[in-house]
Amino acid sequence: METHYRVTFYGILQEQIASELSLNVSLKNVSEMRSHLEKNYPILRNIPYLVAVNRTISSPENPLTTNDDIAILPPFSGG
Amino acid sequence: MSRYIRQTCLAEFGLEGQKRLKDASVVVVGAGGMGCPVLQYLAAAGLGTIGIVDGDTVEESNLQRQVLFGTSTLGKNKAVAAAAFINNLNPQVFAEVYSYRLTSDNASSILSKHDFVIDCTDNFETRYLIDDCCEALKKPWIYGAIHRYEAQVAIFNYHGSPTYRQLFPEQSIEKIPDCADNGVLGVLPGLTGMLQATECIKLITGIGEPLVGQLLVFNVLKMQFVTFSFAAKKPKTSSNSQCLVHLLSASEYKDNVERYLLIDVRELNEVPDFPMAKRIPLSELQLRIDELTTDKKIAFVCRSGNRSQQAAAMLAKTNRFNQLYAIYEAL
Repeated sequence: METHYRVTFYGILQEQIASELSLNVSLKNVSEMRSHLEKNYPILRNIPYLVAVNRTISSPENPLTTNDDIAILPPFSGG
Repeated sequence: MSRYIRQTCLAEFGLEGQKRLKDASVVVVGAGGMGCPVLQYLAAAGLGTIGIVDGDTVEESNLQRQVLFGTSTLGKNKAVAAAAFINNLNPQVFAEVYSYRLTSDNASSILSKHDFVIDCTDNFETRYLIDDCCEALKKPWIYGAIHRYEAQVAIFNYHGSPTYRQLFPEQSIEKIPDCADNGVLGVLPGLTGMLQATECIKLITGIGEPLVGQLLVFNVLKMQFVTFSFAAKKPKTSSNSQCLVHLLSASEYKDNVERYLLIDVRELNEVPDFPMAKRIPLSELQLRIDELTTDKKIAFVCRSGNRSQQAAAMLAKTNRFNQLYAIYEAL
C-alpha cells in the first residue's frame, strides 16, 4: 500500500532542501525515513537533525503510518 | 511596591511571585540580540540578581537589534553597558558584571553562583559548555537560538529533564554556519529573548506551564509557532553472559568511593573534572585497556550515563573483566 507523509524542514535545511515535501513512499519507521531522505538529500548526512512525528521528537524505531506529519529539525546556532 | 503593582495584582503572580523574583539570581550569557530584551525585562520585573556575561564591545552594527545600547555606548564592554542600563531602569536589581567570555575555565564558578542560566549566545561551543556545566551543577538553563527568520526556545536540565546534548549530540555541528554569516531581522532575537525571559519568570514564580521537555520553533515570516515534545532518556540496563555490567547511581558510588577505580570517559575538554577520576576518553578506551589493572572495582562515568554504559559494554565484550560498573548519571 502506498503511504503518504508531509515532511517539513526547518532552519538551514529549509534553504538547502525545501520548506515542505509531500512523500509518497512506504516506510516502516523513522530510521527508514532518515535513510530515504539522506539518500535523496545527501546534505542530511552531514548535518545533525531531529525527526519529529506528529510533533513528538521520535527515536529511529518509532513506527510511521500514512499521513504522519514529519518535521526535520536541525539545531540553530545564532543569537 | 508601586513599581510592580501591575504584575503583583495578577492573581497567580501576587506578592509571593514578586518575592520569589526578588530572591532569585539569574545569569544571562551573552548581552546581544537575545540577551538585551532578557536583561531589560528581567530587570524591569524586579529580579534580585542578574549576572551578565559578555566580553564583546558595542559596535554600530549591533544597534539594529541590541536595544540596551546606543550611540553613547559604542566601544564599551557590553556587560558593563548593560549593567549601567539596568542600574538606571531598576536600582533594586543587583547587576553582576562578568566582562569577559564564558570559557571552560570560568564557567563553573560563574554559573554556580546563580539559580538559572539563560543562553543568549551565538555559537554551539558555548551552548555545549553551558549544557555540560549546568548538568554537572544540576542547574536548569533556558536555550534560545536563531537561524534567519526562525528561532528555537527550550528549557533544559530542569529537575532531570533532558539536556541539550541529549537532544543534539555534538557531531557534524560545525557544518551549520554561525550567526555572523547570516543576516538577521532585529525583532527575531528580540522576540526570542522575550520568550526566554517569560519562561524564566514562569520557572522562578512557579506560574503556568514552562517549556520543559518541549522545543518551541517559530518562524516570523510565516508567523507560525510550533511546539515539539521530547521525552527524557532513561538509563538502559545492559548485561553480558561472561561479564556483568552493573548500573550505579551517583550516590551509590559516592557512598563507597574507596571501592572503585573511577574512569571518566568524557573527552578531555569536557568540564568539570570529577574528583578521583582517571580520564580516558571513550574514543581511546580500547587502546588504553592495559591501564585498567586494579584490585578495585572499575566504574565508568561520563556526563549523562550514555558513554559510561557504552564503555562498560565495550569492555565487557573483551572478557578480561568479571564485573564492571557504569554510573548512569552525572556526579
